[in-house]
Amino acid sequence: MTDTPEILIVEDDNNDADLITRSLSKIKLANSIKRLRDGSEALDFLFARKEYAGRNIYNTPRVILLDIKMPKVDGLEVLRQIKQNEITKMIPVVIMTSSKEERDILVSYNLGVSSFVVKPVEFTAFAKAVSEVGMYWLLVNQPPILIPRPNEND
Amino acid sequence: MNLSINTETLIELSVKKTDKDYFLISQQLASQIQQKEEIAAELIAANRLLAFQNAEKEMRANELVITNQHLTGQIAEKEKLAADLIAANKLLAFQNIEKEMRTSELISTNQQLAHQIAEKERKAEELIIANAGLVALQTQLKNVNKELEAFSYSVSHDLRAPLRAISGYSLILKEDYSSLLGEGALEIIEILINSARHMGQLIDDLLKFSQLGRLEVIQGDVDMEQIVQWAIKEINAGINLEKYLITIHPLPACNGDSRMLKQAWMNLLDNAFKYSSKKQQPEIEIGCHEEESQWVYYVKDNGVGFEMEYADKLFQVFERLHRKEDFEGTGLGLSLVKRIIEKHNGMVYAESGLNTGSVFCFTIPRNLK
Repeated sequence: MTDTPEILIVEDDNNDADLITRSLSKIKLANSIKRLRDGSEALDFLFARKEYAGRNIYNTPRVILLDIKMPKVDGLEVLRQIKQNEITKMIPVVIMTSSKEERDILVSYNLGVSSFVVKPVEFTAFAKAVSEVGMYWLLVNQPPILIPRPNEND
Repeated sequence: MNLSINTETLIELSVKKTDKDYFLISQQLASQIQQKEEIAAELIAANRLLAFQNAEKEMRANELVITNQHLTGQIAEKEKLAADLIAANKLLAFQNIEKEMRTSELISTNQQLAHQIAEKERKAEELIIANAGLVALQTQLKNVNKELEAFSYSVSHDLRAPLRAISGYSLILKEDYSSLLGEGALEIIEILINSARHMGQLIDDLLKFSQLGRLEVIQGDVDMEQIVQWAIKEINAGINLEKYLITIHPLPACNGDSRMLKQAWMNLLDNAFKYSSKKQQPEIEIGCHEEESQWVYYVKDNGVGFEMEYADKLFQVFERLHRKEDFEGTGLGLSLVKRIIEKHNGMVYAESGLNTGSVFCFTIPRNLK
């Protein structure tokens, strides 16, 4: 297995992360998931810094599920940096947040988010939303044509 | 003096005197004559001089007459001028009085103005103080608003996550571990799930309610018919409306905030569907009539209705007229409607009787522009 998962979950709440993973595993999409605990860890991972130094940054996930309200670096800042970088800007990013704040929605779309999903409180609806997002981005959506990778054999 | 030589005197003399005497006399006479002639000559010269002087004097007199005439003319002229000057003087005196009057008027006006200016300055100072107070209040309000925003943001985010965990893990317990649990436990899990859902709904409604307080009405033309259609479609996605008999009369467009008004219709229609849901043939009627300067939109149902004595409680926050086990709800829907309609300078009211259905009306001014 490569050092790059298909689904990257950036979520500070353990329960939410667990519920997302459970929902994805119900539709058999949970075998290539990596969960990161906040925005700064997400940036370290994506740009191969600190504990992720040495990771090949050209190995990008198929989709990033990104929470907004997180300690240290919030989701909107992570989104901004992903979209500013030539290598990461084509990764589909789905914001998954608890709050339906209009300002957040506007900022996210302005930054080039692929989807904005408000996590329902009710678990049935939540599980449905998560599995639809997973199915769409991993099974329905055609990913961007891969950009040339200098180190093909990692 | 009589200078003429009288002949009779000569004769008299010649009779009485001798030759010598005659001679002497004649000599005397001759001398006298000569004397007299000299005197005569002198007299003549004097006379000529006098005549000359006379002529001169006449000439001078003439000149004087002329000068006099001239002077007389000048005097007349000067008198006229003097009269003119007197008249002019009088006029000036009059004007002077007038000017003094005006000056005193101006002085009093000036004093008044000075007083008014002082008054204005005083008022300006008062206004400045009041303004400073307002600015302080405004900053205070802004701060409170910011706090409220932060509060509602945190409510919407931080309160939902644990609820999702309660709801999620309860469901996982129910689905994956039901074989390990007894029937009582499954019932408790059901209560957990329902309570979490209800609390989620409460949070959502509270947030909507607090957000609405901060929102400004964005004026525009609102197609009420379309909005009602959308609202029904949205409700239909949640609950099945097949059994309802829905009548929609023509609804005139109005001026207002379409998003807010849609929310108001949603809440009113939601209630109408909810409280008539237990009828065998639930009926909903939506319409509008015109009243002087306003539109009166209404939603009528044949549902359970309410007792009119509690009508004033209907639109208050968290007030409910039905038990939760009969009809679900958070007690915020109608207060939200009231807030929206009041922001449109309208009114909302309801009429009903127990089990006779109810009519909810709201008004929108016809020319809000």
